[in-house]
Amino acid sequence: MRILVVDDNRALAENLAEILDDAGHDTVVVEHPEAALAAAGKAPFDLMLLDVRLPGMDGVELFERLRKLAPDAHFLLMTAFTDAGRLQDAWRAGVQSILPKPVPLGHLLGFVDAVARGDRVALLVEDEEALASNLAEVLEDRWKVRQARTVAEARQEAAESPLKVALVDLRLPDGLGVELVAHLRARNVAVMVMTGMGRREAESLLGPAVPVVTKPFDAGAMVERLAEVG
Amino acid sequence: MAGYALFQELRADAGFDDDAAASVQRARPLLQPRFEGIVETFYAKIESSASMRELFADEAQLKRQRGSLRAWLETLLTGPYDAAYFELRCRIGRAHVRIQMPQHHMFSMMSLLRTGLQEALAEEAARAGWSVEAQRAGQLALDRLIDVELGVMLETYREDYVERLRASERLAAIGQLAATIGHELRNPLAVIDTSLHLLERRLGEDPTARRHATKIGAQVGVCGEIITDLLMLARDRPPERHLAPVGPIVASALEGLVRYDTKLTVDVPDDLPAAFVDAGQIRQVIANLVSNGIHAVQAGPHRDGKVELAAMQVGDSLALEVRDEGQGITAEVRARLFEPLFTTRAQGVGLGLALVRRVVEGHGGTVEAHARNEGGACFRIELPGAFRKREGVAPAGAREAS
Repeated sequence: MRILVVDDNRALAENLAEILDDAGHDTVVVEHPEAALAAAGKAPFDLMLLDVRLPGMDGVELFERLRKLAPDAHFLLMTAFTDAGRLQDAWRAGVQSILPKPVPLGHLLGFVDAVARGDRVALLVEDEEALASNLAEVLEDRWKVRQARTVAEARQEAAESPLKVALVDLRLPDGLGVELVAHLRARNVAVMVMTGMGRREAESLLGPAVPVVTKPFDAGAMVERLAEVG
Repeated sequence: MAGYALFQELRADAGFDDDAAASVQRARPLLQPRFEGIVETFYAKIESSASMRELFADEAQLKRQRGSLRAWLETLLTGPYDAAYFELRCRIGRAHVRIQMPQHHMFSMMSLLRTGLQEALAEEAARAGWSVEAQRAGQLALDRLIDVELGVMLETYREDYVERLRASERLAAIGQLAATIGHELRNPLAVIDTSLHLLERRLGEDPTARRHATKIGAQVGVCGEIITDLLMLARDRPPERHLAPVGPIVASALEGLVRYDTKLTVDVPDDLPAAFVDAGQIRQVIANLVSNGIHAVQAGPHRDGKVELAAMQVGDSLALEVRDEGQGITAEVRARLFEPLFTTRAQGVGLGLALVRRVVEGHGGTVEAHARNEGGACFRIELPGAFRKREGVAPAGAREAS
């Protein structure tokens, strides 16, 4: 798999490249955002790992420009000091994972390997246990299933795997999943929303483009629908 | 405080010149027998106002206050109005600031005393057969002197405000520095960590080399955590709330604390539900409070005293109490306890309790400290809504983790 690492800390970028190459990948290192744009314009990358603080433009802006060049690539950010507002922008725009520094290598390699293997991962976000376990059972026929009960847990799970599809309950113990759905859609994840509220109410929160099923529903039929999109 | 020059300015502004001072001193023998009555009226007023009443700890303190008010009246009318007088007045003013008496209370109390003195002077001067002119001069002088007193009081409040402002600027500067250093250190740490990872694969089976590699890795982790704590102090981050069981939060807070030999008892009921809090922040709060308790015991009269930590459910609130048998806290310390950079410890920056308050208030909760009757201090935190039943609706103040 071709990977691009962008960090003006050359020692770190080279170490990361060496670790990724050891895992069997083909890694290119650049220090400057402009060089990153040039490299991505020349040959495609499957995954790009960008530092947030870079000379000239920050990693969030670079991500937005690289994604125009490579809409199907996976994007991970890494940061030493978290400017929460800027990172929230990146998350909303669809950055898949925001890694702290020192970089948790297990997390990074796990994500990279899942992309390389072409894992088909489904995220199931539902706080009602009985329903969650039934849905997980149905989903497991087609996908590797990651489960979460809260928005916070869902953010955690979503950051650790390349997702194909997601099934999200809109009302969760720690809030509404509206931003979560926006993030997943920005990542090109096929999202289906389940809700106990009225369809119209859910659509007013999410917009008309998000498929919504109201509870109760036929789990089998819903999974079929999900399989068609993801 | 600008010192005695300021006092001279206040006197000049109020028109309290040497003639006025002489007038006041002439009135003193007439007023002295009335002091008791003025003090009585004054405290009757305090007793009748709940908000003023609670500025005083107990009956004993109120009784002491009566004594000091009589002394205040005595010196007020005696003078001489010199540098020593000004110093004394400043000390009295600062005492009011320390007990956090609101400025408007100070004003209404002064006006109560002014009225009491003026009424007494009018009656006594008439009885003593003073001329109308002498009476008027006495009343005017008294008014001007009270204005000077008010000026001094206001100055002590201003002085206190400036001091707080400076402290918060200092904290902001420290925060900025901490953030910068944290960022600068995390990059080299990331290099060390990745290099170590690469090195470990090539170490082979040498057990000593492996043991040292593991040690380096663990210490890099510790450095990362220290930086995280430092940044947490520096940044005013809203809580990232999750549902988290209380027992493990407490356990991780107590891990790694420097305990000396202080006895520590922990009471977290098994049936306490999971709390909707920022576990990392609450961990830090518990660690700070318990660490303070341990230090208080170490510095206190009984080195074998113990520290108790208890968690409990009160309605839908999570309450946490940390009690120690240490040196206790005086009313003055209590008033400033949560100010950044305020510390009573020989070693310590004074950020711990400021952070506690910031985190607790970020959770919409309260923290209070009081001296225990049996000696030592008790800190109590209440986090309302931590156990609120959530029917899929986020409680007030909840936000998505960022």
